[in-house]
Amino acid sequence: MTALAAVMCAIGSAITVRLWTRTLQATGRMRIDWAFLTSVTAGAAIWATHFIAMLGYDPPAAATFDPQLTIISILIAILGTGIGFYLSAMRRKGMAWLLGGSTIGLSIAAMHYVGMFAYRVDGIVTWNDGYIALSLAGSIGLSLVATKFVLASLDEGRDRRATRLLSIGFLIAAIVTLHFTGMTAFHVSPIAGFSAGADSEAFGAMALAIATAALIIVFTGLSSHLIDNDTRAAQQRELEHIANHDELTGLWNRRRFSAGLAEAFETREAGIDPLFLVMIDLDRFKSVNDTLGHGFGDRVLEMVANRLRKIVGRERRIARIGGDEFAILVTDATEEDVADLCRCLVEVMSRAVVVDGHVIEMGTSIGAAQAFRDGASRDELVQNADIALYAAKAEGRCCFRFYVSEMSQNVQLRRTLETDLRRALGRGELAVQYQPQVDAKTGAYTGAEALLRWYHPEKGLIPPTDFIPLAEEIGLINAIGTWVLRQACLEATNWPRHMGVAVNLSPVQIMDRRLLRSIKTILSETGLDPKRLELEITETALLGNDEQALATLSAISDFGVAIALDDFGTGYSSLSYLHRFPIDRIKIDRSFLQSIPEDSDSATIVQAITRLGANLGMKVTAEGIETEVQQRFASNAGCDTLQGYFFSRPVTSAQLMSVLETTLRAGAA
Amino acid sequence: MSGNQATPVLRILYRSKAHPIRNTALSHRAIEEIVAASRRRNLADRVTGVLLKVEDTFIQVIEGEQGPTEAAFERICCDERHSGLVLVDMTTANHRLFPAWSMAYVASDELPPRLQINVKLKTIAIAIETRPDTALEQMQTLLE
Repeated sequence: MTALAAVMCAIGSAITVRLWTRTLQATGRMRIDWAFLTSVTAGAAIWATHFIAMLGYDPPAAATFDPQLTIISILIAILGTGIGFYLSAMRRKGMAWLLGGSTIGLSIAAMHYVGMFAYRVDGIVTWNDGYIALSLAGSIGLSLVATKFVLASLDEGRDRRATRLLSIGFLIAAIVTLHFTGMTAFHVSPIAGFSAGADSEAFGAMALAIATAALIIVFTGLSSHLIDNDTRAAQQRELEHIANHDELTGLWNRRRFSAGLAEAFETREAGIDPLFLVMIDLDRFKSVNDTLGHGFGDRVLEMVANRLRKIVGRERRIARIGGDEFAILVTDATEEDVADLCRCLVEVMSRAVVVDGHVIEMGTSIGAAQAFRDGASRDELVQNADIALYAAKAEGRCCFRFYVSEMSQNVQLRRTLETDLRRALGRGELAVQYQPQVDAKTGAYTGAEALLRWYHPEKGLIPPTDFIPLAEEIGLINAIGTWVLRQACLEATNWPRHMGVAVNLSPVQIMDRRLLRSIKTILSETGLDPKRLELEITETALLGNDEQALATLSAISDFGVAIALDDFGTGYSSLSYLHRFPIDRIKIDRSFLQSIPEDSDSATIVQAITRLGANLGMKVTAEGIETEVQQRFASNAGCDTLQGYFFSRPVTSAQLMSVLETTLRAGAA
Repeated sequence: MSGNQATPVLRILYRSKAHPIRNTALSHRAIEEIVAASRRRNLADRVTGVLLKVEDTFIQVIEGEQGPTEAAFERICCDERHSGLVLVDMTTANHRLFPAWSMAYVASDELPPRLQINVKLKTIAIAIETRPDTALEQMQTLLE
């Protein structure tokens, strides 16, 4: 029966420590619940150990148990240790250990001695005080050590298993030591005349019954711990899934993708195992959202994700890294395989998506890059794939491009140009030149068009077509445009009063709500008469945003500044623009004049535009006049003003003024 | 599989090339397996239609309730065993054109007795580009 008690003690202690750690980890009400569960388990185990051992004890006289005291002893075990476990979870570590540990030790002892009072033996009982004291000291001391270890098992960086095992060992030691020291303190002398020996057969059956009941309690404690663990693990998995996946498509999200990329880099040896990054961007998806709504757009994205899965295969790692941006990590494939995959994706994504009776025609652009070859680091790989994607888009979309280093050079060139352009204004590298305009009939100078020049310190003169789009893209156009306007107005004040100045406006500037105010400010600061200023716009500026453009241009026109429609005849040339917008002048695109006299169609177009202008009450300027034939044709066609190399190249304001002086003197002479 | 349902049917007509995007050409066997699989699926989804193979061009009509028909077309779009897919026509109609066929399959081949059919298939393949309605009618007569 001692063996049974030992097994009971070991199992009980092991499970107790398990539950005890849960008590320590729990907070609030959960901690009370776990402390309760731990104490029921511990109390049952301690009490059963004691009781079974007592049943195996063979006193020299008949023995019975007092039922009330026996039950009280169980309650003491449960309640006492429960308080101890709860205290051991206190925030102040030192107090938790001291109070928790000693309460547990005391409870074990209290249970034992109350249990001993319940042990009624027909003999003379004597107690050895020394051993009682020793048992108390042992129980409390060993419980304190067990508490120390269980607390330590929660610390990071420790071997938790070993620490927990030590704790279990000391808890067993505390229970066992108390029992045997306590029993050594207990002595029974038989009284003569009474029959000796206990009813060992009945006691044996009782011991087994108690052990069974106690084990049931103990294992119930364990199973609640395990059930809770399983639930927590399931919740943990679900949370992890949510944290790592895109809610809409179920693909990896950006966060998981970064981690996956890092993993791939760690596990792959440089240069041996190929690793590809494929970046995918849907073309024309935005308009789906804009026209059919986001809910609809989401369904389209789900279908897109499904197509990706089908084509790429489930074993590959696919992520949605932005609204309509996807990325795939491809391993164990050749460059050819990846090219095949990309071709397949481009084709499948270009197929119509039919949802709710709507047909969505999209496309996809793809950029791919190989790790270790084109990019040593993770960031470089992502950057290269991005550059390749950008190149695919630049080449008309619906295609894929593998990264090659030249792409990088282009991007690098652009970046350098960008930095240089940002500095150009401050360094005075920008300048304005003027191309004079003459009256078609008299040949007299009527004004000049301001043209921007950039003298790059290393690269020399950079044509506006190379840097104006860049300035528009990086948001510099407003600053540059304002500077040109101010410069032109300032220099025009030195010219004869009858001469106007024409300044080009970028579409981006027209969309800027500050435009009107900055025009007014510049005119008042430079003192130029608004009537001498003309702003040239292109038709593209009016496309798509007519309402705002109309409001801005009307306000400018009301202020007295003239508006000219530049490059007329090449774009949409919608007559409704001429009608709706406050346009004072049409400038016929240079391409028509330059094909005169060879091209009779161009001649017809020039004549038609001139007539149109005359009928609508607009002035007409012919640009790009290089020969006398062209000059004569344009004048005869009825153009009001002429401009081109035939009269003058663009010159500085000073040069323009000296030319003006010469002609004036010549006219006077 | 009756064509006289009150619910309107969605009809999709497309053409594509019998060249897989990635792999080698489709075998006869492979096409027959595709048709068999599509028939099983269509029976369950109450989708009907026709698949024609004119030389290396597929012409297919699928029709049925909107949901299953759209789903069937999406499966076709996910398939990389054909290429150059072009959606020719999509209409909603009151009844099916091919109510009896879970997926009729007619292919042109080189056998002399089939000359008549080959000519008809050619005509349909030409008509589909400009007059999808006429092509559909011709497909109906082909199956009669």
